[in-house]
Amino acid sequence: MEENHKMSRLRFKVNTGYIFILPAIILFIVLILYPIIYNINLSFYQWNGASIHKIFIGFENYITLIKDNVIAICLKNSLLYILIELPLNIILAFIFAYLISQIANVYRRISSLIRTIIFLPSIIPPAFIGIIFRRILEGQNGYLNNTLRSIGLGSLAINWIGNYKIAIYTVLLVHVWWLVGYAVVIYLSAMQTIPKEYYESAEIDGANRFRQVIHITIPYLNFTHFTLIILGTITSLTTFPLIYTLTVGGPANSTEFLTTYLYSRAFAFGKAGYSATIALLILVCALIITIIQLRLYRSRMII
Amino acid sequence: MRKYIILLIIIVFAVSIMYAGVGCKTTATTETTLAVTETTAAVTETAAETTAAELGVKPPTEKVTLNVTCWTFRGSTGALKEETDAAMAKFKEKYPTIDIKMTMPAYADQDALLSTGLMGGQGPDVWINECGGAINGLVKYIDYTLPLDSFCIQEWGPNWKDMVAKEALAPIYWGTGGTESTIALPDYIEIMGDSGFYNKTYFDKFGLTPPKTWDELVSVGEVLKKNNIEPIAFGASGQGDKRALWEYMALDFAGPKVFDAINGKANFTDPEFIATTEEFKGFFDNGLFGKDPFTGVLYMDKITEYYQGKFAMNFMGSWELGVAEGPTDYGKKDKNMEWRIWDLPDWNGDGKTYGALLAPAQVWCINKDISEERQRAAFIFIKECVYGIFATVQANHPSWMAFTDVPRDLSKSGLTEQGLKDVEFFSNSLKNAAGYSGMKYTELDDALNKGLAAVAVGEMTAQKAMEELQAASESLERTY
Repeated sequence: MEENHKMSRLRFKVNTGYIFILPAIILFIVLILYPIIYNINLSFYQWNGASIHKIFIGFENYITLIKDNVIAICLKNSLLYILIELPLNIILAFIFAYLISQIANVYRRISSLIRTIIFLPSIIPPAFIGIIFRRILEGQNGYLNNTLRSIGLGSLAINWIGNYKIAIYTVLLVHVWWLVGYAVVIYLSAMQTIPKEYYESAEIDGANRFRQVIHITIPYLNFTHFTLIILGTITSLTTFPLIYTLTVGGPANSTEFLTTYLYSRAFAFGKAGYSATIALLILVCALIITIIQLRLYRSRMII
Repeated sequence: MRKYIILLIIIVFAVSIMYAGVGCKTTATTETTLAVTETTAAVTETAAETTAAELGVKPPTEKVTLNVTCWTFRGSTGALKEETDAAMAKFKEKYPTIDIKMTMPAYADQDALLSTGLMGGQGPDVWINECGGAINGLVKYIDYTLPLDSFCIQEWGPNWKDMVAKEALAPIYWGTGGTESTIALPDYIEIMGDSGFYNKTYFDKFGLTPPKTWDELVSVGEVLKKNNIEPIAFGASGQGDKRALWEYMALDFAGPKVFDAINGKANFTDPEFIATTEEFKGFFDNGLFGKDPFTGVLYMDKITEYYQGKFAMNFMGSWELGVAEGPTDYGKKDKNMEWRIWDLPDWNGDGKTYGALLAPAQVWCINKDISEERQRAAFIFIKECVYGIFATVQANHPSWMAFTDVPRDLSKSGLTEQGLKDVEFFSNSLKNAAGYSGMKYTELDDALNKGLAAVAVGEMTAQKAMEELQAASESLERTY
């Protein structure tokens, strides 16, 4: 009888637990699961986004996706983001964070000021950054080129966002400017968790600053590096406002990402079904990246 | 095990909500076509019954407040605003039972407002929309739009279409499944393709005359560039900008065949279209568009710079006449400069021209899900916009209305003597229009813009671009 009593109390605790998590489950269903399933369903239809009618077209949107050469450009640009923006962002952020942490030992206020200045771009809405940099980088009358011409460096006044060969690299550099502050703050917080004894022991053993960074700081922050890599990789698939306001995916689709392409298909061309297919592609890519991350983390390759 | 059961329940629940909720109807467009066909049949009966004595839609007997959504209504500043306000006062006097509540979102926001409003059953009674090359904007909301034929017949009689420039009316029927149901009324129209504008101050300064041939254009461009003036304002990051220029040139190279190709009755791989595309590439090869024709900057930003004197020529049409001579919303104009009409070159040098292209700049739509009283009030409002009190305000400044005999008084237009003469240029263009502007099908628009972008930067040949366009044309299901 006592056994039965214990079981019923346990069952009560478990059932009460479900009640407590019910609101979160409902929010999850309404805000995440339902939109995903709706999106999957929509990808099998032709719909202009407003009409009360949808036409079932089976896998036609998927076939179009495979044949669409702009999708290949979008994926290539995401890859460039991972190969160029991400390493640049992480390396610069690490260097800035290390320097700030060193300055902080001596000049606390100055290091706070530098940290604030570096972090400021991260709090500006990306759409504003795109608009501002469009004015700065515009080939003919942009502020940068006008300045270069006025100081006799007109030969350097290139078409930063109008040349289809270099526009993507310009976009990536603007991203670095925007996001490096965020990574600096993450690195700074992580650096503060490194026990000082490690550095003291290394100093006693004769290691100079450089070797301390290589053999203590960098390995200790493995998890931080990995987190930033994952966040950056997801950003390569989901970035939108900055690119849309800076180049609108042009010139000649050269700065198109999946998100900007999805937007133009949905709202400029009234192809909501095809946009849903592109959104699914983004979801699948993000899922694959997340699964790889979890696998690597669990295999303890990253501590 | 329990975890998987709970997960399964959640997924089944979510799928159930989805199927119980929005849009899994697989009804094809035949339903819309049938509904429109029934309306057309009713319209034909109404036409037979209407006599001259019964003309005129009756205003509502009880007070109605119409919700009107439009990104612009006549003018926001200066003389146009005063006249608009005066016209509104006259409207209220003439129709005391109709109140207008106008919502004027930014152009970029209107689509989102309309989309969410109409789909949620809270849409406006009347809204303005784009047409022609931006046919998507009109077709997208066709399920919510009231066919206006019966009202038009009631107001103007069965031959009302004779009052409207037919090339301006044609695009309105594109999205109606070929049923010729009038789902919107055209407001003012754009006349373009045979003209642009040039900076007369620069041309006088450098001893130039407006180029009449391709070779003259290239020579003029060289002189301007030597004097650090970019020849032609062209910001082509927008979707329709490349297509519009190509279209003007294609009309010159191919004549009415361009419309046959759009309708699938001719091939885009024919020599005329390839030659057009090669000439289009010539603009970039000769540096006529300056150093950065494809920046992220939109065409309208380039036009702002044009009025500040950074460029010498552009390809804008009839709506530009008032801007060239009067104030503009494009930012500050350089007050020391003058702009004049540029009769565009004979691109292929064969001495033949085919006239202008017309597009309704804006069209008015009525929500079909409002009461009959509100529909009548809404029609009266848009009737006054296209052929009445408000139409005259627009026509005076100067614009060309789709209803071609809207009276006009140019004394308050601010036009110079030359400008008043230039009005005739566009009026003649309107009479000699070659057809409608704009690709009927977004698939063609898309393929053409992609191809032209690639051709301009040297990534694709003209031949290949036209092959891609032809492939898009052949894959189309032309329902209108």
